[in-house]
Amino acid sequence: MSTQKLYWNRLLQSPDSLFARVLKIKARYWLLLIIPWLATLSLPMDFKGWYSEILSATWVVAMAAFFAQFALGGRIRRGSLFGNIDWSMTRHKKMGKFLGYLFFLHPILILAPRFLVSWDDGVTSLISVLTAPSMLTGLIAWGLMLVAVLMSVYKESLPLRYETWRLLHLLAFAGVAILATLHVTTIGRHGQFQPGFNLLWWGLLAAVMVLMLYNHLIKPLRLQRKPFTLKSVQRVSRSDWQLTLEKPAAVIFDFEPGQFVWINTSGSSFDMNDHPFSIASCRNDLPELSFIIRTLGDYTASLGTLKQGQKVYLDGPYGSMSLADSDRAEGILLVAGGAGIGPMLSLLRGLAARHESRPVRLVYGNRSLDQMVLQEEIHALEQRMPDFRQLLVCTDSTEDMAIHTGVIDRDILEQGLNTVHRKNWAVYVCGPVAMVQSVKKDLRALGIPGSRIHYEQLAF
Amino acid sequence: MPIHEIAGCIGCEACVKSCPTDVIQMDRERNKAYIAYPEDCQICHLCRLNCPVNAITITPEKSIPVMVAWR
Repeated sequence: MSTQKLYWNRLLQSPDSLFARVLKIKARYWLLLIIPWLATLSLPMDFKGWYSEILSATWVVAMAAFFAQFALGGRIRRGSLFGNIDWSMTRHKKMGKFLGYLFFLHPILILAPRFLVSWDDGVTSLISVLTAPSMLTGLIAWGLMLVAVLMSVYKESLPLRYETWRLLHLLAFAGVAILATLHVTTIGRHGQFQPGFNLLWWGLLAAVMVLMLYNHLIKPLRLQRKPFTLKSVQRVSRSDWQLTLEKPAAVIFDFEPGQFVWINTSGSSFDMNDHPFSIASCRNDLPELSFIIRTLGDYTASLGTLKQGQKVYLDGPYGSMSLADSDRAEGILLVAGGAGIGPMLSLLRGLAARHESRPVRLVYGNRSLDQMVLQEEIHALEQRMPDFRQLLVCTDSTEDMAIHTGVIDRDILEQGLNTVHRKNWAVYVCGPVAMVQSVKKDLRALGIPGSRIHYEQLAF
Repeated sequence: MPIHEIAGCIGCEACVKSCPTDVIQMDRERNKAYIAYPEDCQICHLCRLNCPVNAITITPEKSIPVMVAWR
């Protein structure tokens, strides 16, 4: 076998190459976005000058990207293109913002050449566009889109509850999708040249509507029939709760350590009041499922009011973290920041359950010592597992010399990875976005390849 | 055919009003302009220049230099 073939085989067969997987997703995503534009090339249309042609291609790709936004934000299970939910949500947010700017510029860039001819010409053209009856759908879609994008960008500073915001976000963009499709199919040049081309946009709109119908009607109906039971809610640190649920015997539910679910405790699976939490238990603990939840917002602050025995609806599991990612690694480093301990515990428990003999290190950071959860269990695992050690990091200073004071930095990561073969280690990271980003940077600086860093950010 | 294609029409009628020889008419059902009498086109480019969204193309080989005194 040639060296080149060997290289490709190794790359394709490498199970822990998340980097390769993401790259593949990225490439497939962009390919999907340019398909409608490629289809326009088959239309024997007149060339209208480079400016118009480039703009036209941009709008076609942007429209495809807009439809793809629904799939990116639509909680699609792993296995499909949009199954890597962490990547999907990050892309959804970034692309949403970018599309917001782009569609804001849409009428401006189209009319700009008229203003270059003369101001009067520009104003006349603007009036013609604003008063043309066929433009109404486009104008409403444009305005609605601007409001909805601004509402997403300034989500945190709006006096709205997350659930209300989510409902408005969904309704607004469903409206934009319908109006924008009407606009593209009535005003769009490709559709006017070849009406068959409009089938593409109608098809994409139909797919988006089916996805919404599935997520907000069919899925809740299915979840309603298989509720989990709340077994207990207990405080496990100054700021964290441990929520334990029980799976009914009739329900088939399996997950990979490190994955997460959307939990709905509202009493109705149709309620949009659900929240993503990482599973902290491992497969062996089934039918019990446990979660470590930090008090961070209004919902998590009210966890103590939940009643034992009440119905809880679980949507999931989601997430691309998996122990299989580290099958070929020589050692495993788990890095948890605050509430990020949940999935790390799941991975740790999973490793303990399969009697892991490779070195395993847990770097666990918190503001103060009384926020460290389940220390008894972790200490017991240190005794039980052949080569497992925990390194605690606290922002507040402590008298305990064994505890690293400060944040999770390069020094402590180096301690965790204290081996000459650190390049062959696999690292799992979970925590607040800023922490994950800085840890990723430090790990790269320590020589860990990006393909061996598996992470989940606590942000939705 | 000098005026060749209208694709991307928003139905504002700017081209219909600007054409000196009534080549372009409105399709009231679809609310779009269409080339009704292409043989009457004098290649004056007024329709193309008045279209706010650059929807009209004129066959390049048939084009004559545009001379519009009031523009």
